[in-house]
Amino acid sequence: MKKYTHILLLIVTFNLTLSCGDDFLNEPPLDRITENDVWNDKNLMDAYLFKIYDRMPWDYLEDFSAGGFGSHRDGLSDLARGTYSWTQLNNQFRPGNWGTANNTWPLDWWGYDIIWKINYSIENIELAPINVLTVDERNERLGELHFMRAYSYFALVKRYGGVPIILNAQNPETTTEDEYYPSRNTEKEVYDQVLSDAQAAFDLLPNRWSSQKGRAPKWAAKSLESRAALFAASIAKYGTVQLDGLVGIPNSEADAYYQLSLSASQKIISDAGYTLFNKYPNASDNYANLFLDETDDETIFSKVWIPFEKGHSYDLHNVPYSYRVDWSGSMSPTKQLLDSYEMLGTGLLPNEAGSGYDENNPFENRDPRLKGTLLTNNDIFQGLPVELWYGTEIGGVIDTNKGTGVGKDGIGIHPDATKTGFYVRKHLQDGGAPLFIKEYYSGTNCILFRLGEIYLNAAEAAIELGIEGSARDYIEPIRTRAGLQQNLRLDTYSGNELRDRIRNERKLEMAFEDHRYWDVKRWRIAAEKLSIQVEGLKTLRSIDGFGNETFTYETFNAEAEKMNFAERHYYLPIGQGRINNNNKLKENPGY
Amino acid sequence: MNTMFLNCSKKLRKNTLLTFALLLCYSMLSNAQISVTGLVTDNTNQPLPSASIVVKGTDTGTQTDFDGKFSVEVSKGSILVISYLGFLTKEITITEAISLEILLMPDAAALDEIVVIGYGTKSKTKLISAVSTIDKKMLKKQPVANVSNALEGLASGLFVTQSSGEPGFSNSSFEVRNFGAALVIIDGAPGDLNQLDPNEIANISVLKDAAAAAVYGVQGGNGVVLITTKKGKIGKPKLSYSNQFTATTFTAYPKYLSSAERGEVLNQGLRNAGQADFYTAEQLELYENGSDPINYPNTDWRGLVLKDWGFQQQHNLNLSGGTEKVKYFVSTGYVDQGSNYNADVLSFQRYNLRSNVSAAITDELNLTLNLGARRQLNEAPAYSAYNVFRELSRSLPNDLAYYPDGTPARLSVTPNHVVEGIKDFNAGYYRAKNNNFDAKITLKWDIKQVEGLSVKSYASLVYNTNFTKNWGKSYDLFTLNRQTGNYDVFSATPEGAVSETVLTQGTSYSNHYVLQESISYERDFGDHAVSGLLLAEIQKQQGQYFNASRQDFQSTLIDQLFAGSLENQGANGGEFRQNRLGFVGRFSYDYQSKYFLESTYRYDGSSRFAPGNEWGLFPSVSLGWRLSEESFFESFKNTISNLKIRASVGTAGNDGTSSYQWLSGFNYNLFYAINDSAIPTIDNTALPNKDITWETNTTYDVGIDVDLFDRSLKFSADYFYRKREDVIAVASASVPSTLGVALAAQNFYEFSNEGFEFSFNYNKQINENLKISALLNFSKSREKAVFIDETLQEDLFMRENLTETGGFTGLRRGYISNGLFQSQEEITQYAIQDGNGNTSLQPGDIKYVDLNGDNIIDVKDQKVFGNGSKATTNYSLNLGVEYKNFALSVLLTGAAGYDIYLEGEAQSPLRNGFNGYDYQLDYWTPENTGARFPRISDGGFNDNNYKYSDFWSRNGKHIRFKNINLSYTFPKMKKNTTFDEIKFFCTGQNLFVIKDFEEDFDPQTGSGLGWYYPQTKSITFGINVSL
Repeated sequence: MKKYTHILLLIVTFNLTLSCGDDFLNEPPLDRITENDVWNDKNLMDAYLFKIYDRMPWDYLEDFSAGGFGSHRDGLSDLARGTYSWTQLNNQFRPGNWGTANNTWPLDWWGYDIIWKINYSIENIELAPINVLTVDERNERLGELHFMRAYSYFALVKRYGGVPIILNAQNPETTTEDEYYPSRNTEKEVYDQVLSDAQAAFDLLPNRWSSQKGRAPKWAAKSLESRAALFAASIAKYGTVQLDGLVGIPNSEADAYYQLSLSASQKIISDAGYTLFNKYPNASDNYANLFLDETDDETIFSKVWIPFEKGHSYDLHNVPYSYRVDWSGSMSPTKQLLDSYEMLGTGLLPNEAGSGYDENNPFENRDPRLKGTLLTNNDIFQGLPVELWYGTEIGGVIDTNKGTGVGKDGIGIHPDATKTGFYVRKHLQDGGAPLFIKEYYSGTNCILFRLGEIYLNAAEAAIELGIEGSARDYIEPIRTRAGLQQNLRLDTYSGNELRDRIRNERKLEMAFEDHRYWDVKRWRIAAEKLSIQVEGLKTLRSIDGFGNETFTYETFNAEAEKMNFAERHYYLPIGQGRINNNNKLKENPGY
Repeated sequence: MNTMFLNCSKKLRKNTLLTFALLLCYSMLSNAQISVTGLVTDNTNQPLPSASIVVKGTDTGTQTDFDGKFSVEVSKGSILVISYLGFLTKEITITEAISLEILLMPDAAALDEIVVIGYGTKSKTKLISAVSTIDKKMLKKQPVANVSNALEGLASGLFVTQSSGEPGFSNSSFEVRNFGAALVIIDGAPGDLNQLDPNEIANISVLKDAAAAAVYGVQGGNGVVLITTKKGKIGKPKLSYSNQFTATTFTAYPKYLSSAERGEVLNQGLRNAGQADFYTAEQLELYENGSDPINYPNTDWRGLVLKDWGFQQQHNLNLSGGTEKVKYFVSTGYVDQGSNYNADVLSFQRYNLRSNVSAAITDELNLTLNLGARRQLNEAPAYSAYNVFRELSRSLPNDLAYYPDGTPARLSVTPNHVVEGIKDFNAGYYRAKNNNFDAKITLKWDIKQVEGLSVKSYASLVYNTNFTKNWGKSYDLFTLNRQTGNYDVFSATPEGAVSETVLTQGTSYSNHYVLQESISYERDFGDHAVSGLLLAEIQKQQGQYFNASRQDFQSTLIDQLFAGSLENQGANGGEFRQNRLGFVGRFSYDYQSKYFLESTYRYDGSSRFAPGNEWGLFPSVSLGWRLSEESFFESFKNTISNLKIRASVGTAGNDGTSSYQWLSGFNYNLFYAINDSAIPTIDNTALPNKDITWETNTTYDVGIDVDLFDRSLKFSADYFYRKREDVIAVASASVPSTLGVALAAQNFYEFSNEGFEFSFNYNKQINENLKISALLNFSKSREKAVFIDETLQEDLFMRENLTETGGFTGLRRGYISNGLFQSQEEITQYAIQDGNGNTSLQPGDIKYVDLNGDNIIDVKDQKVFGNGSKATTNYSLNLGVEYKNFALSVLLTGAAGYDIYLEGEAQSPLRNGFNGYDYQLDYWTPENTGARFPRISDGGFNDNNYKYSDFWSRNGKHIRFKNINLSYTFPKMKKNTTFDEIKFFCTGQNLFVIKDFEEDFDPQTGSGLGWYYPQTKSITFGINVSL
């Protein structure tokens, strides 16, 4: 009897084994969200849009790559050199040792993955049912996507010139061979695509996002139009058409683009309701706080950062040496930048005759933005003075010992300290005592578009169109807000001199906001401006017999090699890897 | 059997007449029964229980009891046949009532080794697939905490690499024939062999070819490692205790630069960059002579953190025995592994418990219950080993560790203080507890009505629980302010936390059920022997995890979640599951143990694939021929006692590479900030592919097994070729960069592995006192790409593939170096290397070869070089000698056919502000033109010298003295002694290594940067006692 029970048991288990087959093997996994879920749920849809926002190439406070040791793009320009001698920034880009295929870190951005996500979202959101998204909600999201597509192509065209324009989410099973392996469009076509997407975005987006800071309002799209048209115009005016227009824009197009940019800027200034930030009596502090206060009066669109949960490491990378947690002072600002700030009393640049520049008092009586942008000797930062001297002279003997002679942040205190003699202040959080902000603990928002730029765009477009009066009208509010006292309308300059002062104004007003590198390229003056011998300022502290402290300053060559920007560097190489995948992509000239 | 029998019959022949006469006489008295008692022992005086005593030509007989004793009533003149499996049978003619002492000698020839194979066992004679077995004695000789670290060199075809020595994280990776991660089966169900105590293991078989592994179907494609745990034997209870005490130290690790050395290197770099020295000669002299240790220190960070000798102990107590009805094996083990940190903060402990019991319920029904339980405890400082070694290389010798008053000093580069941070868990800790439980129950029914038929039900549950806790807290460091004379405080805070304290705690559970029902049949019909197996199997895996974190604890004394702040708290969790279903069939046939045929089939389904694609059939067939059984072979039989050739082909699968690729969808991704709150984003996965299925591996294997010289020398060799088809991969090289989305994974790559392995196994009892043995293993296996996705580029130099169709896989691609430039003229005349007219080059820079001859060295001058990072050949030699009570064994292991690539801070000193290793001092200067390394660059980086090139590649080939073991066993005190055996032994593990490169790293280094806990060598003393 026992045996039969056993047989029965066996048969039952066998049957169980066999019968549970199909369902058993088709249990879905528990950790996936399906396509269907996403396009039928507003929150999931937005979570996907935020992914796209997050991956946009517009941030400049985040360093170029994890472990990039604080290499920020302005370290490639004439504003600063990178402090760390081992970074590619110092070894490849500044000496001009780049250009071979795929050798373009940290500039390269071939963002077709983002463009795919954008196209894919546009295609699906257009079909979203009304019970999931209202018409307004759908339009707002489509507006964001067109804005981001415009920005993406703008990011591509300012790097490579003309690139393939792809406006649908490709899939090898449905996309035709010709579209799948596309050729490059001309640079003009790409700019026109950027401008048309920006226009579409402007028409769809809301005036402001209520309590959704971090999403682009319609004025961001208009600002992008203002900026992109200005880029297109300067390339038409100063660049050369090559490769049948794959790079360069015909000269004849310049004025139309300048006009377009000017109109966009004017519209923002008159209709958008933004005002220049002006909250603090001290002009230097006012300027510094413009980037820290995170107010909405001047800022049109910014990327929001929160310490820890979504933080960057700008403070960690850029504080002076004695305030460091880890890497410090990764950008050493150049003496050339210092020399670009005018004298407060005369309105003249230090190298102009009669400017009143005092070599032994280089930081005082200057454009207030100098001290809002840079940390100079004995400035109070986080409750303590920044000590920049490399040595102390007592009775004719210079002491450069680390314990006694060198200032706590000075050249030589450590190989990681400043290489030029001063530090960046802009974007750094201040406080009453050293903050020791760690990696990913910076929450300073990254301003992407602000009214200040729009004034500068307008001034530049106007001067290039030869409307000098108008240009002065737009530069005046910027100079006034900066706290300057002389020559607010730059009346003593005209023609190319006026243009150059407006360019200088742009350099200072938007220093360390990721504009300078792109501006000198589109003006086609990079070969001159980015092939300089970087200079710094050595500070010597002297103590006389009464214990009085005095400082003397000495200019020196702060980089062993000159920067070297060659003609071909106006465009990045497409790269061998990408040509290997699609030989219809033509390489840029000179590579 | 033969020899013994011959001896007996000779005697008989001598006395034929006499015997005949006697027999005649006795036959008349045949009814007279006499009583015979006896004791049966083996050659080591161990009593043999259950030895069979049979009166020749009759059914009458008995068995020995526990103590090897028997008594039997026989008629005078009958012949007693005493037999025991694995021993020579003895026959004794009984002429009178007598008490016999019978000594049985082991029979090497007759003992047909039983080999564990998939879902069963097989005698070695009949085995026609490629299976190697591991000698468990060699396993036990090695004082390792994890079984995987003792596998190297013990079986041909097994590739083992240990890449760290960190307690609790030192498991070796192992692959069968370089096929990829093998399936590990413990007592019939998938498991983790590292959790076993070596003393629990009865058998390890390595199933290498498809004929052996195809029964594991969709999971068997990379070979299978089969482990069975010990069972009790019939006999009196035997209690054994063993312990080992081990002292460990690093096999190799380079020294760091001293203050003076670092200062000179720093100056040299600045000089080469055209800048002024950082240190004056006087300052360097002060560093050198150490006369001012406060202002010019030379801190020995390594000495402060590490000690020369760490300590480890292992204990095992087990009891085994049994009767005919019930057999048992119960074992308990303990491992405690300490570290080489000065601070007592890094350790690993494991407790093992096992109880294997089998019971014969009736003559036909047998129940086996195997229970195993383990508990593993890891404790480590908040700085992982990677961080500790990174910090060591980042802590500069010219920074003080402590001020003279004992105040911990803040360092110049790193925000951490490695000594202070790990001491007393100042920076926090990592603690992990793992509980693992497995239960296997087997009910076997031998159906007496049908001879050879049995039915088996098997169920296994493996249940795993993990608990981890990461506690991070800040600790204070100080800088002496020279102006005020006071200390400025700096708080070294935990990584990734907004606050001074952070606690992350996680738990995960997983269980894996296996259920098998099988019918097997095995019977000989005269010359024909057949066997078969039908089996159905269900596997179900489920799991869940949960973790949470909090920060800002009220007090660093309370390291519990509830004491943390609600602000910035986090939680995460999820579940997973997957199912498999399989049906196995196996049919074997042989004729006269001469011709063999076997075929297996597995029909397997896996939930990882889309409906309609989840099922597949995996067949195999193998053939064997024992030439030694043929009549024409008779003349060789004296030398060659066994010669078998075999061949097999079969397919198995691999579903381990990817799951649920057929579902399109989105995954949760990183945060994005909107309006000052962080919102998780979602990101699209690759395009889906409904057609995706497992990869298929087809293996062809031919082998030969030869036993020579009275079976003292056994030779076995295999040649194999494996083709991996339908390998899941994502096309990318041929995909235009403008597509913007990852393509669906497809089954489209093809690879092949070709290789061979052989082993010689020599065992010889030279005389009563001396026994020698030698085992040589050699394996070679390497993978080639048969089909992979490649760029459309036709110019060979412009392609960027690491692997090319038809080429070996896993290689490196880069520039080919040709020494260092020695003069400015040489640079000027050389091909342009820097894209800038060679203006950035200096003598002492690396010279690269202009492969395409265009006088420009750029990406087009890259090619694949070297052997890749995976050893393609391994070899081992295991020598043993036993003289009287002494035994000595030496195990040499080695590997070749791979490279180590020095990276980052291991290339140049002072890179990224770090310190350097002493071997880097051999850098180029005009005085040291024959240097191994290029000139020093400021900041340790230079665009020319650190391009990916063969300059930094090192050949990893090596021979390691893996194990030397000397033991002494106390002579047996005959009877009436408490102890059966007392053995003392001492072992040296990894004592030294002969390698090809000069940098002082272990040839199996776990990091080209050197930031890892090095492998250890050790000296062990131990004792085994059994009673």
